[in-house]
Amino acid sequence: MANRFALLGWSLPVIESMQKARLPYVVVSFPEFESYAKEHSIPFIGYRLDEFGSHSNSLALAELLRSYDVDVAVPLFEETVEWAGALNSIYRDDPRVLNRAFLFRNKAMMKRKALLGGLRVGLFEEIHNHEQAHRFLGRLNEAELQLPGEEDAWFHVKPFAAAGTIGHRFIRSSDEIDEKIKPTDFPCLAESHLTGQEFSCEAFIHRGKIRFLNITEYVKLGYSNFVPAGPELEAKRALIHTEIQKLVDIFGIEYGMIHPEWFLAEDGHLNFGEVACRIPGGHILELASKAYHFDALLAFVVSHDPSLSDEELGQFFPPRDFTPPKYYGNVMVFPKSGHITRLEVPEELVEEAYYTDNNLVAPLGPQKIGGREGFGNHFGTVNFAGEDAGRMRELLKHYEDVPFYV
Amino acid sequence: MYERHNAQENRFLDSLAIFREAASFSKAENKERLLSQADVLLRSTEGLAFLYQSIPQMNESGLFEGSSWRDPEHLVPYLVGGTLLAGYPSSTMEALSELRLLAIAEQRILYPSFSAEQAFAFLEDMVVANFELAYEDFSGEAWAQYAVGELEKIRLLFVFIREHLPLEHLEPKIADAVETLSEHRPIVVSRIKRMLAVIDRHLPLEGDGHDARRLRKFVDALYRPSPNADNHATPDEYRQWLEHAGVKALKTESYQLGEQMVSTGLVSDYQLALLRFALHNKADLVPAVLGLNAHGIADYERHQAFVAILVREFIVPANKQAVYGLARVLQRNLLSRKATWHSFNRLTRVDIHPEVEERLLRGKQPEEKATPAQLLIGGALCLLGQPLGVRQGNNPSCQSARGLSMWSRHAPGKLLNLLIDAATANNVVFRYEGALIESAKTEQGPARPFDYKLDPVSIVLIPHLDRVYGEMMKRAAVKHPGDDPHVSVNPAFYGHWIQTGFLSVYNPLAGLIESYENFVRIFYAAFHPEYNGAHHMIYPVPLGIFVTDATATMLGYHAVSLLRIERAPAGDWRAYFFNPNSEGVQNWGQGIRPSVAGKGEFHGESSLPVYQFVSRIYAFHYNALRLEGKQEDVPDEVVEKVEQLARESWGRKYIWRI
Repeated sequence: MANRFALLGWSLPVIESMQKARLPYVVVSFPEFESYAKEHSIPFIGYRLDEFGSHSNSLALAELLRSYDVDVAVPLFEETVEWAGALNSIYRDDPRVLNRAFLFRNKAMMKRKALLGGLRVGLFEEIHNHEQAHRFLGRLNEAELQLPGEEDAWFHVKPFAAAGTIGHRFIRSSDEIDEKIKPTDFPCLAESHLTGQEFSCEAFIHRGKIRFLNITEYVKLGYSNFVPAGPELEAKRALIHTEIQKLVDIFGIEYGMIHPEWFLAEDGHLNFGEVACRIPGGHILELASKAYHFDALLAFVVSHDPSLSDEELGQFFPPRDFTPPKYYGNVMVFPKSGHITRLEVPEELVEEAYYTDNNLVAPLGPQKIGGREGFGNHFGTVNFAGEDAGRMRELLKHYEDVPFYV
Repeated sequence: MYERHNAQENRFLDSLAIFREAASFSKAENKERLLSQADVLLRSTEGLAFLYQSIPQMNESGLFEGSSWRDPEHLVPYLVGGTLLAGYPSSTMEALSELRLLAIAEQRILYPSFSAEQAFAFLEDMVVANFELAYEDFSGEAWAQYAVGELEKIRLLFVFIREHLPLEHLEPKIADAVETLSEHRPIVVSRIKRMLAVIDRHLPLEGDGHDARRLRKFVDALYRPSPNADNHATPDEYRQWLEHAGVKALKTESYQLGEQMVSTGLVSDYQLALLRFALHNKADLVPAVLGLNAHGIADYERHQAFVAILVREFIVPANKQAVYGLARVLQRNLLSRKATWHSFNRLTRVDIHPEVEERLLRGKQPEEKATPAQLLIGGALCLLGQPLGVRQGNNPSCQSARGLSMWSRHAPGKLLNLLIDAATANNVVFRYEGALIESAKTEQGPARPFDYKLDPVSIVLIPHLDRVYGEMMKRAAVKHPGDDPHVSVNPAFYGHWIQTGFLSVYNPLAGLIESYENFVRIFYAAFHPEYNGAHHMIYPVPLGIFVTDATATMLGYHAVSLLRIERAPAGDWRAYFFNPNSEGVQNWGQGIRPSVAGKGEFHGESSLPVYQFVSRIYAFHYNALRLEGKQEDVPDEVVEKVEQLARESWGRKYIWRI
């Protein structure tokens, strides 16, 4: 077992899991959190974890952590992945650990590596301005054998290093290049649109092997998902497992948890979307914890620890043959645009047998709701549990549109 | 269903355990989840009983910590209803708080700072203060705006509390509440009527107990004002009996009903039937039916024909309270004033603006039948008859309500003229420093739902008056920067009755409270008969007061009118004032609790010992020419007593210039 885990970033649920399990840890995060940490007796080191670059001095941070006897670093935010990689490079005496961390943080590099290793990806390019975007679309159309008058091919642009869907733009025509892509979005990755059902996984890796694989079914990306995935997707578990192991091998990932997104194409193949190695959004690990009867956050942390034997590690995970008896799903509630004055939990929800609870926040007073960026700013989550995946899907879909704020 | 409840209960217990064990930083999140489950359980009888069983564990888990419900001793019974109707999550916390109080009362939870007796008393006060809610079945149209499940939660909660709290024990408190309400004589009597309806249905007022008798007086006044009325199930049948009754019986009947109205302020359907019968067949009985004295009788005899028209055309069962208003108008001899007479005549013949008609109809209960004109005229009778019966409801319109009250007392002609303008043109025009302000042309303030639980005149006039007042305040801020805007706005808005001197405790330029001693001295020298040369006040004085809560913490500003300072029957000097927001029990902290009855108040007045009242004032108008240095003679100890109360209450929020 690690002497002490350094948790880089900030996640109260992870801290709570560590406290409950009585595992040694210290949180490394921005100094602004210090007083809060002190108030709640959270072991804490304040450090400016600004964007990692050539100026970043991980040796200084390692020095600071030495007195805590830290030997494993765990990234909690997208932005702390390189910091954790740098520290773990030192702890494991392997400079390539940091290089691998860069893979997660540069989407173009990530795609190239995947392509090199033989994963199925779209046509992609790094672009730096609108003109290059137009040229990219031209070449894409050409490859798709477009005839005059036919619609443009679809593609996506994403910033190299942003988390989740922040800055992600879906471009459906050449006009939209100028309309939707802002000058500040450049440079970015352009990639042709991948078809198929989108889903995400959480693969817990130890010694380069998948110890546990969770498959999450999205009902609507960023709004609702459930665990385990429905029978259709779970039927592909073996294929998914194989593809992820391939990804792990190509990237050379040894420890930690990865959170790849895939598209299940109609021909039964998987298209690789992207991969992160942080805690996924949508409370997915919480759903996985409930479905599989374990603490997925704790499992996430200990997966980073090379010193654990397989047996020791196994105690943090469900048995290998465990089949979840129920589906656990949630809907993130966003007030609809316009004015809202109060929270009103719909009657039909309270009557619903699959409904378990919610943590919706009442607005402090009348307020105006604008649009949303990324998947932030939700007002809370409504949770469901039940035996039938079809019913779960139906409910989650339904409650995306039900207004909770009036 | 049983399994479902079981699952919900188990899940709740799991969440409760998680909440109890949760780290300090994840309490809030886990509390939200726990509450959402309690919310589901509150919607069934079994769930509620289960929660009541679990309330000691919930209390121990710290559910109430960090919330407004933390300390039972700081809870306020009459606020419970509003919170229960405020929707989730407030309603759920409130319901759990009641369950905890019940558990304290039944000694299932021991609380060092709050005894079982205190908890019982709280629950009794709470049921009495929220009496209508406690017995409501929520079937009326007025409840349609609330979520069904929320109302069901409230209904089940009160059913549960009532099972643990026998209604008979509440009799003295209910009687107090009804008497206080009646003594205060609001124009809108729906609250007292709803209470009496519940009492009539649920409380057997048999026997000769003191409290049963007190309550029976009111229930009878409303439902069976005489044995003969009791013998006839409907006013129609009663009317048929009247046709055949002997002279002596009719006379007895008329006096009895008239007296009941005068002593309770309530009008029954039988009384309206009797009044109509008398006007048609036995006009000499009308004064008795209306409970008039010599002044009233003189006015009635002079305007008999007009009174007959008013009753026939404009008073129907839906606005029968106008009978009391009419009686009061006659008592005040208002119809014998030329301006009032003409303006009232004119009012009865106006074409009401369609928007105003709509507003008037929104103000009545959906099941009641009355035309906009009937509502308007009936409302005008009530406001003229009961100047101190105006209330602001949930509207932030204390200034306008105060104006209506003052004009009704001192300028009924002006009031009626404003009403005619508003009713016909949906507009009113005021002068402000040489310029005209039309309400229809002023910008509307922030959109706020208008509370229609007001008398018809308020429904018609308040929106206009509020806008005019707001516009005047805006202009004053521009025209007289640095001056308190009330100096110029109050005379323009209320009229020439406002005195020319003005004092405020606050210096807006310096941002300080200053010259407080002088402020108090001048107040006493201007209005207190012991210091002003033994004079009574002539006109009401509009005052700005700091509203404070039970802990004497400042809540905001409010407008009231000082009516008189006189010795109470007990011998102490009291300030009698009009407060447009005097529903419910008020507690201003430091032991300051305005009284509305029993301390020498006339119907509609509130009162406080003078020094307590002065301690909350921040601005008033006065007549500087009549001071003649009398302020110097106000004893230091009088001033000091007031200043201490002020500094230790609202004064904590301000910086004082020493």
